[in-house]
Amino acid sequence: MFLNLNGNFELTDVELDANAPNLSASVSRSSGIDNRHAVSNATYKRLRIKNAKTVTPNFSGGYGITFWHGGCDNVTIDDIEFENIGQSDLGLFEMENWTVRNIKSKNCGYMVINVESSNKSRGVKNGVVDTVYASNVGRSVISLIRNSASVGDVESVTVQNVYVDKCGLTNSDVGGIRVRGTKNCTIDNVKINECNSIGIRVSGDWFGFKGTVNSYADLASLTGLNKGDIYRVSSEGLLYTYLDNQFQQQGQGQSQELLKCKNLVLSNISINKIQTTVNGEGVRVQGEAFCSHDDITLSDIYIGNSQSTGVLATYSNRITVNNLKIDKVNTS
Amino acid sequence: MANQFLIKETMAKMKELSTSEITALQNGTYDGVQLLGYHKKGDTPAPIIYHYVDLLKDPDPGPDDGGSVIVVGGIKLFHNYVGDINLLYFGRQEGQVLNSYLTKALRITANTGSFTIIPKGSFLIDRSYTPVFNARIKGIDRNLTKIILNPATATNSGAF
Repeated sequence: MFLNLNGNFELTDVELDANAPNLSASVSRSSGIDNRHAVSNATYKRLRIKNAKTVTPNFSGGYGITFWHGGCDNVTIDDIEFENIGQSDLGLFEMENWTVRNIKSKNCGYMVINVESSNKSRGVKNGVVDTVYASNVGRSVISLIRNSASVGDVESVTVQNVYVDKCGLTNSDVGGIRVRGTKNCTIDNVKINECNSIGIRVSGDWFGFKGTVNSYADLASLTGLNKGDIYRVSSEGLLYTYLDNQFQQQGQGQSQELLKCKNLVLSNISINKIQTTVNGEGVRVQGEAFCSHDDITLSDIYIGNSQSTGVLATYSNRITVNNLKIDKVNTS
Repeated sequence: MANQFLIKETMAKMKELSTSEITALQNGTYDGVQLLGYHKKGDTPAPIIYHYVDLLKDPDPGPDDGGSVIVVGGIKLFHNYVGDINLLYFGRQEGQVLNSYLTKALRITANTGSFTIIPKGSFLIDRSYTPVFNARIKGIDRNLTKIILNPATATNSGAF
């Protein structure tokens, strides 16, 4: 509805109705507010943004508010109600120096707050998310992830005081709160009543990794290659990336440097009920495909009624877990 | 007779000034017109005064924008807004599309620190509305001021 391409934009005290339920299926992907072109200074207060969810459920509609394609710096978002948004309520993809406070979300089809450094991004940095009440969330309540193709970081972001009734309703894997490849981020005081997914998932996905070959010579026999494909040569212990029609040595661990989490603190986490039959850990801190994390602190964790593992932590360096409490971990 | 104003109850009546009234504005008998409402008396937050613009002496305020500059009978009347502007002064009514009138008001309030105010009620907006630089827009309350995407402008691209 609104495009902020010029900067210095303030919008307060209105309801924005993206009107998707009343649109025909062919034109039904409407959204709320779009900030782009690397402008500065946007303020949104006391708004209600609703009905960006199409008749097709879940990840099918529009956004509430996004910052991308250059994004916006110096942003204040305070006291916003989101209702029936198809994609993310807040898509924070390219921005610096921002605060998001006092968010209420109902029936979000995707992620309530998606902090994700996107392709060609300059990153998402120096931000605070404070006080979020969410219910009936399709995927994650909070997502802090570095996109696999991003050239920017998710860095110095604090998320605190998040209260959730039900999340992960349509996805059992992504996680109620998801973290990947962040630097110096903190998530503090999260209370989830019922999660139909992993409660908190800290992953180290390594996009582009295709497999392992025995020797360098074996690379020449590979077919169907695409730019960016990564293979590990086990005899050398090195990684090679397929670029410009040839493999280039990347050295061991370059990709993991991009997507590992560094200096991550998860504290005061309470998940009352993990309600799923697959991937149902309360907290999963896991490296994947050679990726490990550095300096993760888990403190004051409460997991109740989990159908699976309470806390799973693998492939990570220097994980500290303090005051961990796990109650009634029911596995099957 | 300085500081005397013609009084009109609505914009429509102001745009029907008689030849003698226009002459009285031109010769200084009246300084301007006090408007008591837009569509009907009292439907704006307060009466406002439009001053006669002597184009031989005063700068041209621009074309008729339906709110600050009114062209009638070959003359121009101008109201100098100071502070916030409520779109009721531009004649907006429930159910109408906001875009062009938002822009007209924002061109006045932008860079001043003042707000353009969308009144109580439900209004349409064509998609991808881009405010001017330094724009501040506010409603009365999110429970009272509603902006709805104009279905005629929707697409399937997820466009804003």
